[in-house]
Amino acid sequence: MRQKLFEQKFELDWIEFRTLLDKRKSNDLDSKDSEKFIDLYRKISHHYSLAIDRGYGQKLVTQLHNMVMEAHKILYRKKDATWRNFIKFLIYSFPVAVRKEWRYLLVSLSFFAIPLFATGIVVYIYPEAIYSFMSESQVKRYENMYDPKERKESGYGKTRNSDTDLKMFGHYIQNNTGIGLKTFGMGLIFAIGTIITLLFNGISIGVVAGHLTLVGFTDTFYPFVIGHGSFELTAIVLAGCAGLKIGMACLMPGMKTRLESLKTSAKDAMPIVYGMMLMFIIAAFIEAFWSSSTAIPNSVKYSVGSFLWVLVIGYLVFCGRNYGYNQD
Amino acid sequence: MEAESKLDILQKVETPEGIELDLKTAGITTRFYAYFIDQILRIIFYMFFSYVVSAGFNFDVASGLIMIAFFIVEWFYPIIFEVTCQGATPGKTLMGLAVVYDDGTPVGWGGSMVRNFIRTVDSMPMILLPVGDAAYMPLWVYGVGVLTIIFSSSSKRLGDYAAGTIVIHTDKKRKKKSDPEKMIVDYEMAIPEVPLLLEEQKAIIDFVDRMPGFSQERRIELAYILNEMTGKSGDEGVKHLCRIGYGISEKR
Repeated sequence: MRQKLFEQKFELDWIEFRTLLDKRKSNDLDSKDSEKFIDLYRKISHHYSLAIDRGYGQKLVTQLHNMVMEAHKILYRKKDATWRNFIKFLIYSFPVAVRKEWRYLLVSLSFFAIPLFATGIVVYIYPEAIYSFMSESQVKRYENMYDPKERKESGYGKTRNSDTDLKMFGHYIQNNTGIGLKTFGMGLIFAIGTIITLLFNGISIGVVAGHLTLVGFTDTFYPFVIGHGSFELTAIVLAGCAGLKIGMACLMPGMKTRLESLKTSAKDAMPIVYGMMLMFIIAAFIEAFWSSSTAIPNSVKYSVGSFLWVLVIGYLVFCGRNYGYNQD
Repeated sequence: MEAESKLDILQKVETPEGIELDLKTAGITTRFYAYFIDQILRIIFYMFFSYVVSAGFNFDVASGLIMIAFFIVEWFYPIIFEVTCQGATPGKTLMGLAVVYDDGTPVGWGGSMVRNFIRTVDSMPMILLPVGDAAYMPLWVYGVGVLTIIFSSSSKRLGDYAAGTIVIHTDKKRKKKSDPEKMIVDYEMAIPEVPLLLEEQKAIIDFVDRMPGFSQERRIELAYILNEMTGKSGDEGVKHLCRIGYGISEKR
C-alpha cells in the first residue's frame, strides 16, 4: 500500500485517538471512551509496526511512535499500592514485611545491640575506657546534659520551653531520619555501609549509657530515653534490616542476576523503609515534646515508656497476622 | 542487547502489543546540568525560607522549622517532583529530561524513593569545603554515580539500577524546530540514489536536525561518509544530504 493511501485510510483513527489522548490529559474519559481507547491503541500499535516495516516516511513513523508511546505510558502505569493505601500499609504491609525479613532483622539487631551492651558494660567496669571513644569535652557535654544538679539550679525545665522543643523536634527529624535513610542507602555497597553505621550507633549509645550510669545520672538519663527509645532504636534496627537486605541481594543474588536480585529486594525493602521513616518521625515527636519535659514525674515516664516498648514490639510481632483471611 | 553494542542513546522497549518503542537515554552532561540547576534552586529556597522564618519567629522556632524544611527538601525534593511532575524535577524539566521506569512508564513513589535514597551511595565521596573559620560546607562529588553512569550502557547510576528506572530525553526539548530554510537555500527535495532503510533515513534526518550545532567543516566531514552513494563532496555534499533529508521528512 502506498503511504498516501495508508494515511487516507487510517487518518480518522489517528485523529480520534489524538482527541482521546487529549481528553485523558484533562481526565474526562468515560467508560465508553476507555473501551474505544484500548481498541484504537491496539490498532495504532499495529499501524506503527506496519509503517516501520513498509519503510514509510520518518515523519509518519515518528508521529505514530509518539502516539503509541503516550498511550503506553497511560495503560501500563504501575500502581503504588503501599502509598495509596496508607491504612493497609499500617495494619498489614509494614509489620508483615518486617516479619518476612526476620533473619536480616536479627542480624541487624546483633550488629547494633551487641556493641551497645558490650561497650556499655566495658565503660561501666573500666571508667577510663570512655576516653578511647570520645574526647574529654564530649564527655563533659553529655555529663552536663544529664546532671541532676544542673537541672535544678539552672531550671532546665524552664529554659526548655515549647519553642526549644520545636527546635529540637526539627533537629531530631533532620538528623535521625537522615541517619536512618543513609543506613539503608549505604547497604548497597555490599552491606558494609549499613554494618558500619549500626556498629557506630550501637557503640556511641552504649558508651554514653554506660558512663552516665557509672556517674549516677540514672534518674535523668533513663527516663529521658525510655519514651522515644522504643521507636528510635527499633527504627535504627529496621533501617539496618532494609540496608542489609539490599546489600546481601548484591552479595548473594542466588538464582537471579545481581541486577534483578537488587531490584526485587529494593522493592521488597521499601515498606520497611517507609515504616522506618514514620517511626523516626514519631520518635522525634516524643523525644522533643515528651521525653524532655521535666514536669512529668519519672514514674509516669517509666510506665509510658515501657508501654510504648510493648506497643512497638507487639505491633511488629502480631499485627496483620489474620489480615489475609479476612480480606481475600 | 550486548550483541549490537552501538554507540547510541536509543533503548528499545518491547510492549505487550509486540512493538518496540524508543527511549532516548540522557547522558552525564545533561544530567549534571539538571542537577546543578536543582541545587541552585534548593539553595535559593533555603535562603528565602530561612529569611522569612527568621523574620517571623523567634530563634528557636525558626531553627526548628528550618531544620524540618531542610530535611524535607534534602530528601524529598526530587521524589515529590519526579512523581507529581511527569518524572522531572525543575532542573530536569529545563533540560528536557524525565525519569521513567525501564519500560517507559511514569515513575511512581516506590521507584522514585529507591533511586533517591540510594543517592546516598551515588553521591559519595563527600568532601568538606572550609568556609570561614571552623565552618565547613559539605560537597558531594558524586564519584560513584558519575562512574556508574559512564560505564553503564543506558546511563544509569546505582539508584537507577536498584529502582529499575532510566533518565530519558523528552521530545519537548530535543525536538527543536529544525529549520530547513536556514540550512539549504533552495530547499529542493532530492531522491536518494539507493532506497534507504528506516534507520538510515532517521540518521539523515537527525543530521539535518542537528546541523545548526555543527561547524561547516564538521558538516562536510560527516556528509563525506556518504560520498560513495552521492558522489558529492564538500559544500555540495552537505547540500545534497539536506535535500535528501528534506525529501524524506516531507515524503507523502
